[in-house]
Amino acid sequence: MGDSASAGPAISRNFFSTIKFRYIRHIIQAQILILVLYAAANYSLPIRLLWYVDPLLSIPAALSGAVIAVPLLMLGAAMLAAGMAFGRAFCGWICPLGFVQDLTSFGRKKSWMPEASRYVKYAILIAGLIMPVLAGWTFLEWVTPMSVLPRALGPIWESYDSLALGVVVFLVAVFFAVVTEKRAWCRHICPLGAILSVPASKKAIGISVTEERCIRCLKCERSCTMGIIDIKGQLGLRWDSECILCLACRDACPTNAIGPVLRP
Amino acid sequence: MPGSTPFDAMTRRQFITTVGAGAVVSIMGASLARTSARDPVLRPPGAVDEEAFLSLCARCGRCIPACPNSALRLQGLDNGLQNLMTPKLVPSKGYCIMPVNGCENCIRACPTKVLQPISLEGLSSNQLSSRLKMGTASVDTRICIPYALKQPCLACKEICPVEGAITTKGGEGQGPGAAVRRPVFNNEVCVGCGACENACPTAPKAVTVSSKGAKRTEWRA
Repeated sequence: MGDSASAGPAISRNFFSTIKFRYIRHIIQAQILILVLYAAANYSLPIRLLWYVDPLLSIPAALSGAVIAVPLLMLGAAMLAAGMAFGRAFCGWICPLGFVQDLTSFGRKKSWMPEASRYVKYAILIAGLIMPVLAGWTFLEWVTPMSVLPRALGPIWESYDSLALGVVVFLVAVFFAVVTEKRAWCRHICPLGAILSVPASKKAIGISVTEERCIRCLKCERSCTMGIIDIKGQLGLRWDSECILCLACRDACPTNAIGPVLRP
Repeated sequence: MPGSTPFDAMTRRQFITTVGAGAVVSIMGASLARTSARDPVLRPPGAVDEEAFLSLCARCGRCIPACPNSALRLQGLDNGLQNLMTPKLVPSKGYCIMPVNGCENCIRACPTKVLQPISLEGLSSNQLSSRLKMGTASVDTRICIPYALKQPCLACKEICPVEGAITTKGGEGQGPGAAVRRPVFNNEVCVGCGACENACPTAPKAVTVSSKGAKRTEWRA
């Protein structure tokens, strides 16, 4: 992106611009998904970190007064600090439930969900932070994206009599994405995405559009995983803190007009 | 627009609805949680104390397929919302084989360490309950075959992996009924693995394992 000022409206083609980030991203996501689903009783620290960095595990636990898990709180704070740098990049590049949605809602382009329903995840987050104080118990783990997948597949491996709600939550997540729009769970429900988009409003790396190069083809709008790009209106991201930095817009852009930039 | 958040576009009405909905849900949930609090259920081995368990258990269900003996189940709503999707040892489906061979698959599968590693090194069978104590077995003498029917049955004692957890009484007299040996459960030695309940042939089970007397550990990273 460094030569954007001098390049002008001409279409620059260098090696960097030909890389499709989608493949790199899906390879990373697939490896993490395999690790999360890996069924043998082998649970070394790197994959355990996925749960440890979840601030929605340690913060409600501390609020409820049950246990102040200092290492988890520190890792959760590190996750929020990373949100200051990359925003919701965790959702786009690591989260296994996000990957499943990427796979199941592949061809979907247009969304018909009301925009205001994106606030639902903030309501869930607020409830999940007030409830531990009021009643001393936590419920956000029901929808923690790392837990939804193994919980749904456990009964299939072993037995069906504990099937119950674990599978239901997973199926809701997947079918929601299939019938409504891409990443519907991440857009409307996931409280981890909600808490990550708080530091993401001040993030260091974000998507921006170079006005001179943009030909208004709207390919980025259609490709956007989170459905937040608005080219006709404000030539940028309408809900910038929701951006998961999946770089689908950069892959789709024919003129390299849109991409990640370091913000001052 | 750099730095634009959902809250920039939010109207006052939407803000009040979001915060209000969160608050209302939490107050409703809080009252539900109070009414649904129960005694702790039988947990997998190495479980941390119940408060920490309920708040740090990720409800991921990883321990369920990890168990080689199919002893664990995720709970539904039958024990309240707090227990929803947390693991439970169900002896009628399978029993914990940790006292038999030191299996700790569920402990290693747990991503948030609400199941803490237990070292059983150097403990003889009847000392296991000093470190591993999930619960206690007890017998209902109205159902138990040797007690109620005066017929021989020691299925629980035969399968019990802990030496001295189940002893017998009777069997020394003469004549019909007098010669039946009856199982006696020793609460201090029992580890609560559930093997006896699993083996008990009656329905409903005469031998049941409850979480009474369980030793729970402190949470450590």
